[in-house]
Amino acid sequence: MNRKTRNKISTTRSNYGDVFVLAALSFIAADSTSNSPKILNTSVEQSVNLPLATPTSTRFNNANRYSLDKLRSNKKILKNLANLKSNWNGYNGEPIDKSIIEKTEHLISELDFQPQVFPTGRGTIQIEYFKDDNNLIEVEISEGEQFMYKIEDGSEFEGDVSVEELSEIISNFYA
Amino acid sequence: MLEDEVGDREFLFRGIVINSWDFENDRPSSATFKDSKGVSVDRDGGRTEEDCINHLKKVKDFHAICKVLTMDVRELNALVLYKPISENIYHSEIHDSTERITLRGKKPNRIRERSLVVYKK
Repeated sequence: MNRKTRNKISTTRSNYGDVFVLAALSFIAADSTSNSPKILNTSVEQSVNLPLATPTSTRFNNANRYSLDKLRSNKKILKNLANLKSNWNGYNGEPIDKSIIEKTEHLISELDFQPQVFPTGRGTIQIEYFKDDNNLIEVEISEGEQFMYKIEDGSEFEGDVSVEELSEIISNFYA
Repeated sequence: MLEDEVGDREFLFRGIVINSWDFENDRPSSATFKDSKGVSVDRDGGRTEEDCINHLKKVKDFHAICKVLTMDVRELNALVLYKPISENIYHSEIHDSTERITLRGKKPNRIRERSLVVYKK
């Protein structure tokens, strides 16, 4: 096939493409009864019409869900907690061991929702989730355990939980 | 001379450092009430609120100071014990129970709920 013939075929393909675009546009314009919004594309390759979905679930509205900014901010807080000296709180507060800081950093990295992070005077770290006084979760992270206090719709729970359980409990809390 | 037993109507004051302040909800975190040797507080011992606050502010540059009524703490089945020390005759401690000193679970949270912030920077 010489160059002239190839050019001719290429031009023909281009014409077919234009016809197809026009046909697609006519079809979309005629489909006036459809309520779903459409994206009109002018190229044949990208002519799939995508409905512009509006999220209706409130789960999308939690700013701390999958928030990398909040995770970064919490990691910064944890880094600062490593600098706490003895008596940091004016009440003989204990410094926080590096292993507990690392454990907490690993734990929050596994969570879908980012908590607030606070040191305790006994060298542990507390993470908190709060909706209101009848719906909150507090987890105290120490060397050997993650001790949780949860109140949900007035129903209370206290006890040690694993990292996997904690992740599920927190996701359910915001479900 | 102060009574050996802290009165039900006395307020207990506690300083809060910035690390323990919950800025999202503008209140102390319950982590404030988690110490290893009982929660140290100052009983009012008949002083005015202003005197209690000024006394605590001399100890440290706290971000905030809160107070809780002794009776409210006792209603949670926690103990309020008068434990004066040489530097502070008002020093007292909140213990979980006769069996355990450290507070955990719901008690720190409930004490936080019942406490009032009386000073904040």
